Formats: sequence, C-alpha cells, structure tokens
Amino acid sequence: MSIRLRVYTILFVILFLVLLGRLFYWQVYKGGSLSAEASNQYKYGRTLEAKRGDILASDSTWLTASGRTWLIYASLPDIKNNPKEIAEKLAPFFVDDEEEDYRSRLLVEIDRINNLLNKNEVVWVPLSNKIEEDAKKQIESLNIEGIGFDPEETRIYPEGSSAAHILGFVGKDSEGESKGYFGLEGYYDITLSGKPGFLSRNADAQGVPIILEDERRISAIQGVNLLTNINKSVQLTIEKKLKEGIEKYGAVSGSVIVANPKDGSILGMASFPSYDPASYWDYGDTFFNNPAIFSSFEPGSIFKVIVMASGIDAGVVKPETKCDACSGPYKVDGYSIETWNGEYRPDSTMVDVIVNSDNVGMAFVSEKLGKEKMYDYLKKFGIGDLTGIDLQGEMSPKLRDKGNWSNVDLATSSFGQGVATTPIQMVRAVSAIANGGILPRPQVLDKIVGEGWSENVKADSGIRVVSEEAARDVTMMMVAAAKKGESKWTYKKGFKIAGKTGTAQIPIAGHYDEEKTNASFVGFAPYDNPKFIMLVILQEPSSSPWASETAAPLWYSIANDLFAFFGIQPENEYN
Amino acid sequence: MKRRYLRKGGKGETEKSKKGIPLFNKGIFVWVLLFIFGAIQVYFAIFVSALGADLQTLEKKEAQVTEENKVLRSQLIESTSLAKASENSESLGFAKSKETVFLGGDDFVAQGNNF
Repeated sequence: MSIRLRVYTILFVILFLVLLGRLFYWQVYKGGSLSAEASNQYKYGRTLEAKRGDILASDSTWLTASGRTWLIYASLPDIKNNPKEIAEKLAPFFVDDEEEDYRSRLLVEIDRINNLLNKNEVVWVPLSNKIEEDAKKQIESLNIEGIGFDPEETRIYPEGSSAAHILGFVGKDSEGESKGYFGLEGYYDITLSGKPGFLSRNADAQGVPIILEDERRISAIQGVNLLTNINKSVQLTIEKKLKEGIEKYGAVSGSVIVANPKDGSILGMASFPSYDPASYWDYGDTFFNNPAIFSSFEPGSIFKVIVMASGIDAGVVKPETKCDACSGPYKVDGYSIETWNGEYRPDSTMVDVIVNSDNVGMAFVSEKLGKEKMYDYLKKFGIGDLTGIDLQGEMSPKLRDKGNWSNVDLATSSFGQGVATTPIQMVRAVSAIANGGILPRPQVLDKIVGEGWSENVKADSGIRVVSEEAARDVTMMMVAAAKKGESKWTYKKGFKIAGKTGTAQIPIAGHYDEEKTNASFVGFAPYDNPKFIMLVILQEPSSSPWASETAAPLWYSIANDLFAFFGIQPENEYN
Repeated sequence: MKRRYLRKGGKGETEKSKKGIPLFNKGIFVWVLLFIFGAIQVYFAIFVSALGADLQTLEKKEAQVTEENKVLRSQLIESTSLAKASENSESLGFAKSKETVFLGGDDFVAQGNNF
C-alpha cells in the first residue's frame, strides 16, 4: 500500500513536471510567436489616406485636383478562362484607339497581357494602371474571374495640358511615395501632401470590430488647397496665341508671361514645347523645365529700358539729354558698336535712343553710368539673382562679378548683349518701371485654403530700385517707342501702351550666330495705371529675324484679347 | 440553522431581532445578484457585438458614399473645364466677337476701336 502510494505520488509529480514543462514551452518559449500569430488574426489596421490638395485658378475652379483611378491586376490562381481570350478582351481598354498605329499597338498589348497571365512563378500581376471609372465598370461587366482592381490616387487636369509648366506633376520618389516635381507641385509639395493617418483595432473572425478593445486612431491631415493668381481665361488665351504665333513665325520655341506689375502676381505663363502632366512619363526630362523661369537668354534691346532707368535715376542723363556720340559707330577698346540698321542720328535725345533702339546711344548712357553703378543697378533690378517666384526649378544666370567688367562689357550690356537673364527676371525688372520704381516679387500663389480657413500669402510690397520720376520718364519713352518705334505698324491705336522690342543675336561658341535671333517684346497697359505687363519671346523665328515683325505683332494680338478681358478702354485720340 | 422570515408586527419579531438573525436569506440574494450581473454581462456582450456590426455597416456605407462622392467630384471638376467649354462653344452657336465697341462716359454714340 505504501509502495503503491509512493509510485502514484512519483508518477503524479512526473506528470505534473511534464505538464509544467509543456506549459512553459507554449507560454514562455513559444509565447511570443504564438501571441503574434493570434494578434495577426484579431488585429486589424489600415492607413487613413490624406488627399493631396487641389490647385485652383483665381476663380476657384480647378487647375488640377486629386482624383482616383484604378490599378487592374490578375490573381493568377483564380484565372479560369484562357489567358489569350482574357488578353484580347482587356487590351482594347489599355490602348488609345485614336492613335495612328492603333492596330499594331493593340496586338502588342494583347501579347504583353498574355505573357503576364502565363507567368508561373508569381500569383499576382499588375496588368495596367490609371484605369478610369467608366473603363473599370465595362471591364467588370465582362465578369472575368481572377481580374481585380485596386484604387490609386491620381491627378485630374480639367484643362488638359494647360499650365503644365506652372503646375508641375506628381510622380513617385525612391520609396514609392507620391511626390510633387517642378512648378507648384514641387514647390508646395509638403503643403499639398498632407499626412496619412492610421487606424488599429481588434476585430473578430468575421472582421467585425470589437468595440471595447483597444483602438488607436491617428487622424490623417488632409493636404491644403492652393488658390493661385492664374487666370484661366488669360492662361488659355496666351497658350492658344503662342502656339499659333510659333507656327506662324516659324519659331523653334516661345514663352509668354502675363503678370500684374503692381504686386507681381502671375496671371498666366506659357511656354512651348510643353508636356502633358497627366502622362509626364511619355516625355523627356528636358520638357519639364519651365523656360520662363529656367532658360537664360541675352535679352537684347528690351534690356535698354532698365539701363536707361538706371541712368536717369543716377542723374547721369535726362530724357532731353542729347547724345554727342550718336553720329557714327561707337569705338571702345578696339571694338566698334553699331546701330541695328546702320542709321546714325546725331544729337539724339534719350527718348530718341529708346524709340530708335539706338545701340550707340545706350553705349553713351552706360559710359556716363560707369561700371560700378551699372553693376549696382542691375543687381537692384534683380538681374543675376533668383526672383524668388514660388515655382520649383527657377534658375538664374550669373551676372559678371563687379570687378571683372571691361569697357566693352559695359557698352554691350547696355543694349542687352553679353548679359544673360531669364524671362521672369525681365518681367520683374520691367515691372519695376511700370510700378513707379518699386520692384515686386513674382508670385503664383494667392492663398492657401484649408477646411474652413484660408490664409493670404501675398508677396511683400517690393523694394524701390529707381525713383518714381525715373520710372515715369522711362515709361513715357516706352510709350513713344510703341507708337513711333520699329514696331509702330502693329501698334494698337487708342490704347495706352508702353512697350519695347528686342532682337538679340544668339551666342554660339564664342561668337554670335549671323542668322538666328531671339525676338521679344515687353510692354504694359494702360501705362498710367497698368493692369498687366506681358513679355513675349520667340526663339529663332524663321519668317523674320526682327522682333518688330514677329514678337511685337504676337504681343498685340494677345493684348487685344486682354484689353477686353481687363476692361481696358481706349483713350480718345481725336481729343 | 433554521431560518424564518418574520411577519412584521408578529410575535417573534422582537425576539429574532434581538438575536441578530437576518431578515432575508443571504444565499438567495447572492444568487440573484450573480444572475443579474450575468444577464447584464450577456446583454452588453450582445449589445457591444451588435454595435461593432453596426460600426462595420456604417463604415461600409461611409466608404460607399466616399466612393460615389469621388466619382461625382471628378465629374464636377471635368465639367468646369474652360478648354472644353471653349471647344464646344462653336457647336453651341457661340462665336467670338470680331469687333469690340467701347462706350465712353461722355459719348453719345459708341466708338469703335479701329480709329
């Protein structure tokens, strides 16, 4: 009896120890992994998406907005039908039937889909993305087993490729996250992006949330909308006219900028060639840079108004000052500076110098101004510095260092040769003349708009670069240049226009191209209370090398529409 | 111990109270309490579970409404396109004016801009 009891006791202890060991194995040794497995079964988490902010025109309609398209995929184990048949059904949805080689592209697409559906080593393959809602519904109605859809955020462009260079585009960064590149998308990427949130909670076997259990929610911060100064009517007008102008004058490319010279707000900005931000991957990298803020060019004669304003402000010349060097070519350090048409007008006044776009007269002004003052004034006008426009991708050519100016540099820069600027720098500098001597900072954005709030982000009021009198004097010279200069044939009578043409030779490999030019026209109206300033640039026009026959008529053609749009009335010239 | 409930005003009331005998059975009270708590537990378990299901239904509806909202929003955005309106304007009978006539405040008649 005693032995039996001992045996049972020992057995009981052994079994207890085995049980204890087993419990230790499950609870402690395997506890972590089992707990994780269990957690995977009842833990439920998902990302709360943050919508990217919209970019709005000045009338609060959309330039681009967040939208949704679909990624179509195939779950290969669930495919029941013949892959070739599925490919033939799906391919027409992925190929644009308006393309020229539609038939051959369709066959290529069928082949591509068929290959994807016949892959062995994978179970899930993406077939195509950016599928629109209508196409998705049509594909769903085909009831193809194994074909599914995943939502993906995209950008909608109601105006197509309009304002592409201003907007930029949204692509993916190295981690596969959406990121804005170029233009507003790039400059205001963080503001537009917002921040995704996260929801974590427990759920039962059917996925029903268990309410009393732990729930963690980090709310998503939605992206903020951008209300811009871009006027859709102005933007579409300048794009249409610029495209027509490039074709008409046989130019390689061109740019137009329209701004309010009083506060620097950009009302429209267009350049061609351009690209479609909705399918940016079809274009090369060179298309993405905005020529209006990126391309440097020698401005030619439109630069004269800046130098003249500097000369008047410095007190070295007045509008009535007579040029005593204008009777013939101007000699400087062994070089000879000539007028553009070989005509010389002795005793020209400074008004005549601008009206006739006289290079010799400008060399005369620059000599009076001197190298140091010239450099200081150009710096004050923002030449050689970034304008600070709120678009990603701005570039500024360097202004020659202060101590490195030769006499020839001084003379040639006075008529816009040997000095490089960007179009936006020129618009800004001439805006200072239109704005009574105060240099504005160009800005595309007007307000940032959130849910129930908005904040003005107007640029600062600008800095004075020349006196009001100097600005007024140069304005009147530009008025005379528009009426009586080489582009007078295209002048629109009755309207208060101040303008200046610029025909610049193109520097290549240490010398200037004999045939190719850049033609430009900058002007503003009405000159006494400007509603807009506009710069038109045409690169290498083939119909005529002269701005007066290419850029100027294009400027007036656009201005004609802008007059009506801004409600600018003609002055009565009969009075 | 034999327990009795006493009628109020009865003979034994004074006696029993003096001896400290409880006025009702504790065991039954505990069981009743346990039953009530059990019932409440079951009720709230079902209630919370149903709330979870309701929440799931509401979230599905929210997702559906959000989805429809996105589609409608896309249509709204597309319909604001000035470029498309411009393309369609001619077919709708609109044409760009060939001449702009300006009226001055002091003018008796309109003046054309082609002077």
